[in-house]
Amino acid sequence: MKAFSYAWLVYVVPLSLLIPLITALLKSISLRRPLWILVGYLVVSGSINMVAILNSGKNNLPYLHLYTCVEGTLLLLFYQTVQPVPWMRQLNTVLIFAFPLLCIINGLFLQSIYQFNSYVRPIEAILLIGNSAYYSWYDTAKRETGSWTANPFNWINAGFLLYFSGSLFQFIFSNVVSATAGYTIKLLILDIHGTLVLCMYILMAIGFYKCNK
Amino acid sequence: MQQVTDNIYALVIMAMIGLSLLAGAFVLIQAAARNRIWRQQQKLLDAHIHHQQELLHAIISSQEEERKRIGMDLHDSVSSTLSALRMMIVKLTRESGSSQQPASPLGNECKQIIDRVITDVRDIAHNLSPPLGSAYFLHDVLEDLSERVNRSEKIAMTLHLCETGILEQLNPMVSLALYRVLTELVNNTIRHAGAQQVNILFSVLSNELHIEYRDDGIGMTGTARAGMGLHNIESRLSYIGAAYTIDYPGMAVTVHPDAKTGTMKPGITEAVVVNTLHKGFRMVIRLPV
Repeated sequence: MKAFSYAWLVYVVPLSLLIPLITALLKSISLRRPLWILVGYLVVSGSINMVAILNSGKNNLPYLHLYTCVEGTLLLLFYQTVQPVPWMRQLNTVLIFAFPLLCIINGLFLQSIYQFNSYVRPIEAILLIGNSAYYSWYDTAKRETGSWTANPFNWINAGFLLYFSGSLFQFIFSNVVSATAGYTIKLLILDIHGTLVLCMYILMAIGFYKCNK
Repeated sequence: MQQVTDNIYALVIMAMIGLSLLAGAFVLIQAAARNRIWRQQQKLLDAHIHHQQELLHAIISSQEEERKRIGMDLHDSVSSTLSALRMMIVKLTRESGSSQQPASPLGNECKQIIDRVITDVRDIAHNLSPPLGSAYFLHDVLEDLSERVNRSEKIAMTLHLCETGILEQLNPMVSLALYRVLTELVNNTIRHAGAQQVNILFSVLSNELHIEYRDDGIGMTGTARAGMGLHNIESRLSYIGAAYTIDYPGMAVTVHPDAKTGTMKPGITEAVVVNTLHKGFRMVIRLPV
């Protein structure tokens, strides 16, 4: 269990980020602006993850605070460009500025940066679940043409919905679990989280692959 | 008060798995519903396109039937009557004069006019209904067309045929469609292009019959592009599943039939860059053989 979790969490899941990244680079001619935002997100999140893994001997939770801020902002920027209705785009524009501010306030006044950011991370997840659910609803209810599978944004949106929905409770209870749970339980929760990350990257890679000029 | 003994970690794990499954199910249901709607839309679209193709087929067939009927009426009825009239005039001229006297100029003039009318009626009849069939093929009717165009002295038409065996193997409906297209192009050149020369070149390249039509006129104007002539050409080429490329100074358009629906889809529209080598209008038709 321990060896599997180590390989899974330290090698397989972090390196799986290369799947969407390489796919995006192979399809770079066909990528539109929102997808370049995701490429930026992959590069930045991959870099922060790598630094965090290299510093895993000591408390590396400050990187998680930074990661949450960057991830939330970039993904809200992504939804700001792909949401089909103006009011959702305007709401996301406000959130792009409000969310990093909230992360800073949380890090400075509410939660120590050496603890899990169990306030802002669930808020980020809820915002992105809301965005992806609205995008899915609009696609099914309002759009008139096109296959679901042919649209790259549907795959990417499904990846975010799956990842943030599945991880929401982990984000909410991260400090409680970290402080009180046994090592095996923690590993199991992290394994599930890693699997959700892997699913998100694969769905993202399919989305990039579906891009055509 | 009863003490709560639930394991919070088990609850977190179950919530994570449960919400993942919920989100996954949501996505799958959405994708299935969306794809089902899309398939229904595609079916409707295919049926609509199929209906349009059938309509086009019916229009072209009935048009050809009607042309054939008028052509045969002209050939069998008017031409026969004119021939009879000519014979009567010859007889009348003979009866009115003696063997020593030459035929009257009025009689000769009448004969010449009737001969011209007979030739014109035959040309019109052939044009309306080219006798394509077991012994008369595309190259034969095109040679006739070339002869008629050159005889009119409006324009010089040159025909470069490929191996005629391939042309003889073409389905009569395909031959007729190609003949109509080339006739339409020649008419357009005579009416609008101000050209001196028309060249039609047949060749066979990698299982495709290439027909290159070229004139040395002014090219194609905006009104010609939107006109019925090009629409008719496209309908007939769509009907036989041929692709075509049109180019003239400043523009090139490639159109090919959609393999699935049979409709014509514009391919590459390369503005300005193409056609700098020659002036005038050029069209290349590509037909799988």
